[in-house]
Amino acid sequence: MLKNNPPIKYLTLDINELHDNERVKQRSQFLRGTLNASLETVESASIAESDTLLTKFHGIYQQDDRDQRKARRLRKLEPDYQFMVRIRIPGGVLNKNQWQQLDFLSRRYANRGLRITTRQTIQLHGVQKWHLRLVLQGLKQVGLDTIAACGDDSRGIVCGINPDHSAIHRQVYQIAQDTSDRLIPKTHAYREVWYQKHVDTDSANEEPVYGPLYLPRKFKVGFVIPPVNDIDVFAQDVGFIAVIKNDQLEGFNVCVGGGMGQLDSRDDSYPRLASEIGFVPTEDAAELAEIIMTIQRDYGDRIDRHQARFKYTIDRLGINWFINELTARYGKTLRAVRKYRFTQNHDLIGWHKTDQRHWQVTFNIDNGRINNALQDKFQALVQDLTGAVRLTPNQNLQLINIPDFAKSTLENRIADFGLSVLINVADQSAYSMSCVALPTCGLAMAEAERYMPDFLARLEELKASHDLSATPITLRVTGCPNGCARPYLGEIALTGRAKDLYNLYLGGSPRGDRLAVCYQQNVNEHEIFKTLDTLLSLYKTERLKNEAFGDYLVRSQTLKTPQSSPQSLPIQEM
Amino acid sequence: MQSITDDIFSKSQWQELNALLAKLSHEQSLWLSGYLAAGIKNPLAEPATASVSKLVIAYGTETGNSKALAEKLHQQLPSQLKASVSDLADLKVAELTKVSHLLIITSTHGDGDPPETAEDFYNALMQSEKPLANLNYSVLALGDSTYTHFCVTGRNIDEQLAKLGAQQLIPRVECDVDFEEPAGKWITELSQKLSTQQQDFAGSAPVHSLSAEYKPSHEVTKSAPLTASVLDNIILSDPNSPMPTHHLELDIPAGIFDLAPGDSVGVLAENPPEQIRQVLDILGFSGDENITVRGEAISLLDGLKSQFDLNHCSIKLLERLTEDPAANSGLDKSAVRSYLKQHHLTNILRKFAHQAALSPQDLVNHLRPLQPRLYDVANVIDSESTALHLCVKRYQYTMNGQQFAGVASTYLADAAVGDPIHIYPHKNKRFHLPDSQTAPLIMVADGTGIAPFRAFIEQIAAGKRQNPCWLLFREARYKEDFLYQTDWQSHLTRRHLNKLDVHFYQDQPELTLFNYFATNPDILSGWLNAGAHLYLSGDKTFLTWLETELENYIQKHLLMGSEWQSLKQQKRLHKNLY
Repeated sequence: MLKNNPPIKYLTLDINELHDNERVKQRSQFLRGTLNASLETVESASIAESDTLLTKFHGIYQQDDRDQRKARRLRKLEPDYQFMVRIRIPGGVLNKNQWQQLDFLSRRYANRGLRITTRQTIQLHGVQKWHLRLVLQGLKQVGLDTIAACGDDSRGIVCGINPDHSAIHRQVYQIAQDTSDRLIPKTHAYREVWYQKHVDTDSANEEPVYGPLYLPRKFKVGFVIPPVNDIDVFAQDVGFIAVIKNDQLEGFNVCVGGGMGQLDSRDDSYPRLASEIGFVPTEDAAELAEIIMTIQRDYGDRIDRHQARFKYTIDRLGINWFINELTARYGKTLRAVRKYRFTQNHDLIGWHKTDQRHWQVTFNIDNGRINNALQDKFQALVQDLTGAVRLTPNQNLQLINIPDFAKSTLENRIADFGLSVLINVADQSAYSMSCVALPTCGLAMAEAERYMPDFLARLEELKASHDLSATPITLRVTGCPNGCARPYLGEIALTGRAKDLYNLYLGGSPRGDRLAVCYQQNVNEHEIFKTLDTLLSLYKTERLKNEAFGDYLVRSQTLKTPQSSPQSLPIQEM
Repeated sequence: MQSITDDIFSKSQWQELNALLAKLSHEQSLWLSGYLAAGIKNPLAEPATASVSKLVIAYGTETGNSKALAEKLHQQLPSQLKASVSDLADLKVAELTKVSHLLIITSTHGDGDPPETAEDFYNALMQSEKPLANLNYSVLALGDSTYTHFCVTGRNIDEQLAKLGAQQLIPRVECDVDFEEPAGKWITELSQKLSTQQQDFAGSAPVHSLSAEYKPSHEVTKSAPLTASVLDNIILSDPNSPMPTHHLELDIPAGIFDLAPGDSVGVLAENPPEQIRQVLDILGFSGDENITVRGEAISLLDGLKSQFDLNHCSIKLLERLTEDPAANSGLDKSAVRSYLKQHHLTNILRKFAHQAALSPQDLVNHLRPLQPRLYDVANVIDSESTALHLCVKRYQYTMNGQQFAGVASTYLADAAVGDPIHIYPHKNKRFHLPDSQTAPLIMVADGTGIAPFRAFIEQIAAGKRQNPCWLLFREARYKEDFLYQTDWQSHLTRRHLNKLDVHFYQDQPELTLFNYFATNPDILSGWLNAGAHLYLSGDKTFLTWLETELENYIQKHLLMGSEWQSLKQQKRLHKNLY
């Protein structure tokens, strides 16, 4: 191992030794590339290949409708190129205006409504190249942008909620926003390209923190307020777990090196739970996040892109090395980790009264997709809203800060629009997430969002046959092993391998604190349900009271050696 | 798109150029493009490969790995082998008989599927029973061993080629995700083996020259048309649109036509069976009745099928039916013509046939002959061409509130692969490429009017001409109606096409194609002063309007104002309107 040698600082290597993408970043003049020219090319609705890497830093992914590829090739047409636009909404809170503008922009320029993501933001799908500037300028009107929603940078920062600690949520949410402002790229390229506003810049120093090569890979930061682990804090590169004492926010437990993505074809590829490293006071959180990011900037692998994620940097150099490096840069020693406990990683569906006598109501949105009639209903609901909209990391929609006096009107409207079914807690779908996958995601090898309704229906049928309908099971389905819907934390998870074939993962916890284990490879629906039938039947007879399916599988040693977080504590009663 | 710059400019040139371009306004950039285009001899134009090379490296890829390996193999092979690299998407199984050595590199996608783009080739090969005894081949299969059907696409291709009698050069190599090493070995072994054979694979292929004079082996005319079978019939535009545009490829013997780019073929269409049935039913005929047409005895059915117009009623038929049309149809004599324009033959027969004892021979004696329809050839036809391309819009029209279908376009659009189509060559002398090999060309196309320009640019791509080309194209919707989009993209990349403007009137109803001239006056005047030829092809109404607008605009706004006059005097304005 490298432990005896000084660790490689990839940034000091010759650029020609690094991965191709590093050279694209270097040549891009701080993310400008040839984007302006690409946007004006008429013969193609796509942009130059090198620019497709750069738009990610601007929150924009080039995609195409894969369902149409073959037919269009025969028709001598290029693929149906279109763009996914992901908005930066740190903490996931939108005011009424912002929601209405997103609603409008999606109707005008996108084709599948609004898609709530697992990072508490909205994606628009199917935007044409010719409309990208209009969309981004439209977002600007309501104070939104798409900076760093994708790309090798600090992605949209997530922030959990806890209705019993509203004041704390406000405080943590503010820190999440400050951290986002601190960590996002500072280049003026965004304004130049999308708003067509020229800014005189000191080009040598446009990115004081990132530098011209940005990060080796994406970097995810999240804040959470126990006991709700809605953000799956152990899946974050850097996770901050709020520590509350006497109703005051004291600081955060910090954990590092979580990450989902893996490649099925590589042995050195794995999901990893973040490791706890210590406690920091509240005021230091944003700074600490930046310091951790700069360590990854300097030491993350820039040759082998797959090994570039922060979790591998930590495992390569060792957690102790990392803590030493962090302490040196931070100038202080981290204090000992405080005690905390997570009880759930799903949302509190339905109505909840907060400690400040406000209300919040959480709607279970299937796969986060708000489209067609559902979009119309929410448009009408938000029109009269007193409060704000919050997108949850479980792809659901929440209305928060609803005063007492507005509750009954809102309740009536929810009922009138037929939305009451979405606040029914018992639904298995409230514990289920999927990524977008086909037809637009270029990485997908199998269906996910479009398959979920069928899969859910069969799962509910199977649960009913074992008299388990009232027992929720965390279910996650993704079209590839990259892990967008955080499958490796699911009690049951499917990751796509090929059309109709999945790897079956089992044994995550309903608290997001244990990794699932790959139980079967390359199995189809029939085989999956055969397995689940057997295991659910055993679960039904052998489970302890209130014991979750994932916890049972581990306790019964059906699954061997899953990785759990140190303070993981299953809920079970003898 | 980006990587092409690497081939053309040195790094420092490219940087300098970018630095300069970054300072230019949009108008300045466009002016510069026109300035350059008008002045250039197109030294960058590279000839396209005209026929299938004898040694073909073909790849099937999802992620680009197979393609990169194909290019690596290509580099390692001695250049005198004249190997060509082809995407399996562009290779036809029927063409394999012309190939001596086929080196296939393909991945397997997901669990046992061929790469999406290679699907057609793969399926055709698997179903093929045509022997390939003269083919030498080898297969490099890429895959991922975590799947059950590891490398199965390559394996199946290998086995199928062997089954068809092809000779394996070296055994198939199967690679897992860490493919570099085994693939490298396969490449090295192959290039050693092929180098030692020291054979000029390309040399034995027939060499053809575009300028070579050749005579067709026998004359094809309107009265002695060629029966060409349909090789392919693709709907280019939205298949759900009521009047979609089709691309047809017809099988023709090499050397049979002497057709230059811009020429057309006459199509001898047939009436649709249901329309013939309608006419027979109205008149109570079976179709088996004998009639004589130009001294030849044929059945009424055959006559109605291909000889007579079943849409438009002739004056003499109306007269025969009504004896006194003015009186019996209640029309003023001068209005008969307009009456005929508004009434379909079947409706007239329905109304009057019962009162006129019409015999089968009577009927055909009074019907208008079915006229051939001209369609512009959409590809270059040289002495080696074995396929002729047409671009056909299915035409429908309304007469008195009733919908009818255009005879020839329906006939062509409905044609299935293998169906016989009767065609003959038709010269279109005023719509040929200019004599000058370097004069710039401004080509304006509306809809299917694009067809001759596809042949023009193909001719330039063949390497004998350097005319800079500016193509302006008009259709309904970008996403669905960008006819031959991928062709134009590849011509732009290779600099056979220098400037492309498109207007889709459903996407941008506030604009017209004229705006693209009016917003680029410097380019327009630059090109015209450089002796550009202006070609207008397609819809008569629109392009006549555009011509007037252009004429007015040029006379009022361009530098000298005399550009239009010289254009006409020097016969640099060419029109192909319908």
